[in-house]
Order: sequence, then structure tokens, then C-alpha cells
Amino acid sequence: MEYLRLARVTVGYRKGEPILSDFDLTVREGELVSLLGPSGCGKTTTLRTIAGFLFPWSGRVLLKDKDYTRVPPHRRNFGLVYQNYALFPHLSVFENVAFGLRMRRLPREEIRRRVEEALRLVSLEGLERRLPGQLSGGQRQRVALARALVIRPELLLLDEPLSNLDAKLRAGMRTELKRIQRELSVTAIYVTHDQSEAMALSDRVVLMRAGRIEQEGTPAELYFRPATPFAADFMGFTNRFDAVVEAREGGELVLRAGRVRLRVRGEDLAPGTEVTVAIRPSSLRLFPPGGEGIPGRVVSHAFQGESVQYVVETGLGELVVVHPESTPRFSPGDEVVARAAPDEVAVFPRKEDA
Amino acid sequence: MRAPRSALVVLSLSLLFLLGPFVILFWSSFGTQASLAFPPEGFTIYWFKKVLGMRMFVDAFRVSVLLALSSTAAALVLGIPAAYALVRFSFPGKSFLELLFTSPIIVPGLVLGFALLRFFTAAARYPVSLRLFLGHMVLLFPYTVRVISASLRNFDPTVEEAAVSLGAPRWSAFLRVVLPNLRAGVMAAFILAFITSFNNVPVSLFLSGPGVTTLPIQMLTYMEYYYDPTIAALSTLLILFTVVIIQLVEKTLGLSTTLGG
Repeated sequence: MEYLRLARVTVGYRKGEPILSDFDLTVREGELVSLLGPSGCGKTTTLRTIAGFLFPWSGRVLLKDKDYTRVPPHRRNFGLVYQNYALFPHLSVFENVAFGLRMRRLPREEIRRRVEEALRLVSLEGLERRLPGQLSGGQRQRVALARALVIRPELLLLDEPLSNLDAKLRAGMRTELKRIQRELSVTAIYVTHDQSEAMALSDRVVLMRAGRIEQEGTPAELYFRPATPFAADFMGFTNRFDAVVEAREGGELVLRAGRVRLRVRGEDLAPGTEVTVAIRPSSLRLFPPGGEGIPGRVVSHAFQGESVQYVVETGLGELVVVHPESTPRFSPGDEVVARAAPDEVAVFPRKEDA
Repeated sequence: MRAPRSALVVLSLSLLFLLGPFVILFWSSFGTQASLAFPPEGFTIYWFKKVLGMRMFVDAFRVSVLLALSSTAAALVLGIPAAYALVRFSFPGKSFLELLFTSPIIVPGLVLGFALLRFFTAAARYPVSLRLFLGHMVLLFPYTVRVISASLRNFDPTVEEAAVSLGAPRWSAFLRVVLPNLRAGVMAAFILAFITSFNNVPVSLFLSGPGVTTLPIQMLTYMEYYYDPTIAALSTLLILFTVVIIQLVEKTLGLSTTLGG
């Protein structure tokens, strides 16, 4: 079911410099969609347009087929959670959460009941009287979440809500956020620049670049089948080199890069096509010299806990390889051959702008 | 870490230089001679009794306090929305307005006073108390705008947006969320404006008139004719008055946050 739709939205902050042009976006009811992209790609602008803090220059914002394009933000009933929490510093936790309900003039008893319910949902019972300044970062973000959810929003808008938390807390909050979103089956839009966060949370990921959608799909689709070199780079296919299609054999392409031959699962590309090849460090494996693969020499290795990261100097440039091993099997100076699983290699016909 | 001796010497000399005049003033207000002299002879509180019994000073004090309170309040009522508009919105002519709001700080007080005098008497025949009020309001407005702008700039606009997203119209978000958090800034602006008005000579000098005179002007007038410890006693009382006000603010709000914020 189509729930929220942005139709041909053009919007920006300064006249003549639109951030989004003719931008389309569809969100289904109950799903969590991530807007993913580097800073300046327009993801926050998109969120602010949905929230109503920016009015589109043209195009429309529709929610359940109702036109929201000109509805002021305070009449939208959307919950917002910001990166910096944006709690009211002069109000207690209880009053922070109660704010939206007081604006709706609900009876005192109902306000109390719903605030307690919301605080229980984010496991903050007992902290009602604290001021935001007396809470930890994680607790503050829970208050912000409770405050946004207590109004039973038709949309939950999250602007990098976990970016200010430390890594350990972030992982915990991520799981909890997902649980709460599922439990309330609230439709949510999540802005982030962190692809692993988008992967872990989303039902669908919208990858943005320079005000346009680069690719959208499930986390798995983006992770395994990036559609463009940009998407590949953003999804961690950090090893890149140029190659030429030599032949098509069955479902596989045979690529030639310098003196190296490479078999990959095939896109439908004609022999002779110039391509860019992108491979994730964890999709490469190193072997002692001999046989097929990319020959090279280990330059360095770095221990990363559950894996070892190698840098290998090859005829195609430096390759980064990550092995899931806790003691390095190769040392700097070793001659090796790097091989990639054929279906984990991304191949793109080369264009000028890529 | 211990402060080096040279620093302590510089510090004591600066303190002596800053506080010395006050000590002399304070001391001589208790002297028995009929003219200001230092060191004073004897000890009396006669001059304090005298100054508290003088109608001209008591009346002028009342005028000064009322004037400072009313013009400060007016400058705040106008200054808060002005600062809000300047900080939150961008509009054509904004930088010109910002410059305009600083101009009374830059323009010498005498020039401002004279210009206001010309304006109030030539253009509009306002009564003395009204023109004093308006003149001081113009004088204080830039101070309140600047101090409140500074504390608004430190206030995260997303907090206000959060209130709006929760259903508060802009004005309501301002009253419920922004204003309570500007308390320190408003207090600082209040103190600064009140003291500026209370101490002002150049603007009041031009705008005062028969029957309505502020305390500093009355003191200047008195000193043209008499040179006795009355003024010293009055000054001592004024210092006390200021200290009490600052103490009250300190007790209720905490001065460090007020002036530091």
C-alpha cells in the first residue's frame, strides 16, 4: 500500500539553487525506509520537506492520498527525532514527553497514562523528574523517541538519531529502535550516512546522490547488487579497477585487466565493452602463487580482532583484502594470488561520469 | 600552580588603581569638614542623613529608577522579537538593520542626545517625561538586541522545531520553549540596560527639563554649586544600591550564568 508519496518535488533553501529537482519517493505503510547518502546528497532536505519545515517550490507531498504540500508542520502529526536530541532543556523528562499531548489539550489523566506508557516503551521509567541535562546521551535519545512516539504520529522521521552515541550504545539503540518501530508498526523514515546502520534497520534503502535517487531496494539488493559505481563504492566495494569484456561463456563473463583474467557472474555485456570492476575487501581471498587470479605481493597486514586486513600490491593497483582469521597467514613480502567469488564482483560498463 | 610574583604585583596595582577612587569616596563621605578633602577628619553620618532628606535627590532618584525600569522593559519588549527576527530569519536589508542596531553604541551619547532633543522638541512636542522615556528606550534598544541575539544564537533551532513538530504553532513554541531558555540572556540584558539607563548623562542632559531630572544630572547640577561630602555620601549609597541589585540577581539566578551566558 502506498502511504507517503513525494511527487516531482523541487525544493531548496536559496532561490535558483534547488537541492531536490523533480524528486519522487514512495513509502509503504508500516515500513522503515532509510535515506542513505553522503552529506550534501539531499537526504536531510527530503526529511525536512516531509516534516513541513521546507515548502516545495513545486510538486506535491501526499500522505494517504491527502495533500500535505501546504500543511504547516505543527498540524502534520509527524514525530521527529534529531541527531542532537533537541530536548527542551528547561522541562523535566515527563514534561518533555507530555509536550505534544498538552498541545493537543488532552485530559490530565490521559496525558499521565500515555507518558508513562511511552517511557515504559523506551525503558525510562523512574526518570520522569530528571532534567535533560542530568541524563546520558543514550537516555536523552530515548526521551526524544518517547516524545515523538507519544503523539501516535502518522510518520516517524529520524534524522541521524544515533550519530551522537558511542559505538557500543549505537548498536543497542539500533536494535531497540527496530523493535519499537515493529511493535508500533509506525511508518518511519530514517536519514543516515552510515550504510551499516541503514542495512541493519531498514526494510528498504534509498541511496541518494546529489539530490537524486541513485538506487533503491532492500538492504540485500543494495549490498549484493549495487547498480552504479557510486552505489558500489558506498556499499563498500572499495577495490576498483578497469577491465575489458573478453568473452561470454554460459552465465559468466570473462574479463581481462592487464595480464589478468577474471571470471565473474555476468551482466549482459558484449565482448569488447570497457568496464569498471568493483570488489569488496571481504569478497577477495588470498592464496599461495599459482593458478588463476590476480597475482601480487603482500605490502602490509593489520590485525582487526576477528579478521586481518591485507594490502596487496598488484598489477591492477593496490587491493585491500579482509580475511576472517585471527592470525595472519601471509606476511609482508609474500607472493600471493587474490581470487574473488564470481558472484560477489560488481561490473559496470564504463561511462564518462562514473 | 602558584602565580608568579610579578603577576601578583601587577594584579595588586590594577586593583589599587580600580578600587582606590571608591575607597577615597567611601572614606570621605564620613568626614566632618564642609568640603571634600582627603584624608577626611572626624567621623559623622551627617551627610547621609542630609542627602536622604533632600527632596531634589530623592525625587531625582525616583525618576531615575522609574525611567530605568520602564525604558528597560520597553527595550526588552521590542528587543526580544527584533533579536529573534535578526537571528532566525534572513531577509533583504538584514545586515543594514544589524548595523543600525549597533549605531547608538557607536554614536557618541552627546550626539544621540542632541539629535533626540531636536527630534522631540522640533518634530514632536512631547512632555519631558515621555521624551526621557523614549530617548532612553532608543539608547537601550541596541543593548538588549545584542545581548539577546547572542543568547539566541546559542540556542539550538532544532529544539524549537521539535516543539513545532509536536503541534505548537511558531508563536507558542517561542513562548513555551525559546523564551524560558533565554532567561539568562534576558536577565543579562536587563541588568546591562538598567545600569546604562541609570548612569546615563549625555542623553538625559539634553532631554531633562523643568521638574523632571534624573539623578546623575541632578548630581552634576548640585556639584556646580556645592563641593561638600553630600555627593560622596550619595555615591556611596548608589554603590550600595548597585551591590544589592547584583546580589539579588546573583541569589536568584546566579550571576556567572547571567553575565557569562
